[in-house]
Amino acid sequence: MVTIRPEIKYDKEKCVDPRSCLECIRACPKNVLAHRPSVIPPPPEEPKEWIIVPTTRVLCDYPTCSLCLDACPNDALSITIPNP
Amino acid sequence: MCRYCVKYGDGHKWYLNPKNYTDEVTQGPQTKLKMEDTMVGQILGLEGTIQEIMTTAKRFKYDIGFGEHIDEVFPDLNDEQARELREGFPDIFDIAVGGQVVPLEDAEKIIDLNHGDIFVLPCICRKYYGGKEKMSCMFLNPAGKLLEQNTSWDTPNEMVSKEKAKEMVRQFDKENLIHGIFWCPAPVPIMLCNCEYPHCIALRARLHYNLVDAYRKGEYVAFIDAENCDGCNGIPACINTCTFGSLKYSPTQNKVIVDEMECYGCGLCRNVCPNDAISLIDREKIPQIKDDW
Repeated sequence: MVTIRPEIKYDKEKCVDPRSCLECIRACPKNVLAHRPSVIPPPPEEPKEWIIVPTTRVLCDYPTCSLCLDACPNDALSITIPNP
Repeated sequence: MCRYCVKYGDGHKWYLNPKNYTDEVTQGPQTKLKMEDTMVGQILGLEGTIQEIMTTAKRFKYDIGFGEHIDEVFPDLNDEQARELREGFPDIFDIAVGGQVVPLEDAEKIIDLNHGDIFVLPCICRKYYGGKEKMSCMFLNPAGKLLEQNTSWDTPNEMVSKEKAKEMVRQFDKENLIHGIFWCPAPVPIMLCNCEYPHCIALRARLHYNLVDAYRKGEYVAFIDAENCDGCNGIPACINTCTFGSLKYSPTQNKVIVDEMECYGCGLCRNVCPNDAISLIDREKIPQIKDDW
C-alpha cells in the first residue's frame, strides 16, 4: 500500500516573488510548503531567484484543506491528486 | 548506553567525551571521506567532504536537499522497500550528519568542552519553512571558525563567548526549545541545535519517516514523583510543553504519568512544574527502554 501524495505545483510566471510574499507557506498548518533559493552562489553574492517547494507531502490534507490555495493572491498554486 | 557511546564514548556519553573535541578526532580520517562516493551524496548531488559542505554555502543544499528528497527516498512508512532503506541508513548517518536530544545540563557541559568561542547563526530550518528568524544554531569549533569565513549569505551571525552561549541556552530552555547535539561525521560534535517540532528538519525526519539516527532520543527519561504531583487541579502545565506526547493525565488519580516509550528526555517539562515533581533519570536504569533510541 502506498499513501497518496498530492502533487503540489505552482505557476512561476504568476507567482511574484516567493521571498516577499510567503502567504502560502504561512497558511499551511502542517508546514508542507517551504521556500529556498534555486541556486546558492558562493559568497559574497546573494541568491537571486527563490522558489517554493513541497516537502513532506504525506501530511497534505487536500482536498479537505485548501488553505494555501485560498491564501495565494495570484492563483498560482495548484494541487492534484494522482491516480493510484 | 547507545551504540554511539559504546563506539565513541570511551566510557562517557559520546558527546561528553573530551577526546571527541580534540584535533585528533575533528581532523581524523573519518572526516576525509568524499560525499560523492556515498549513497546519500549521490542522491543529493554533493561533492567534497561532509565538513566542507557543512561549513560553506553548500550547507543549505545539504540540509534543505535532505528535507526535499526525503519524500522520494522514502516512498511510504509501511512500504517494504522503505523499511529496507531505513535499515540501511545507520551507516549513512555515521558518515554524514545526525543528532541526539540533550537536556540543559548536558548542553552546558558541551559548551564547556568546546575549544574556544561559539558561532551562532539563524536557524536554517525555520527560514526554510517561512518561520520567525531566530539565532539558535550554535556551531562548535572547528566548524564555527570555518563558517565565520563563509557566511555572507547567512546574516546575521555572531561569535559569542562560552558564558554568553550558556546564557542563551538557558533562555532557549525557558522558551521551550528542544536542545540537540549533532555530529558531522560521527563522532565529531558540530552543532548545538535549539529547535521545535514543525520546523526542525531533523525532528520531521524522525517523527514522519522514523529515521532513528536523524534525531536520536536522549540519554535520559522523565520521572514523575507521584507523591509530589498534584495534577495542577486538572490542568497540568507540563503536558503542554511536551513535543512528543509522552505525558498523560489520569483524571481519577489526578496525576500525570510518563509514557517512557515516547519520552525523548529533553527535560523541558521540569521547567513548568510548580511542585518540582519531575526529574530526569538515566535511560539505562529502566531495562525495558534501555535499548530504545
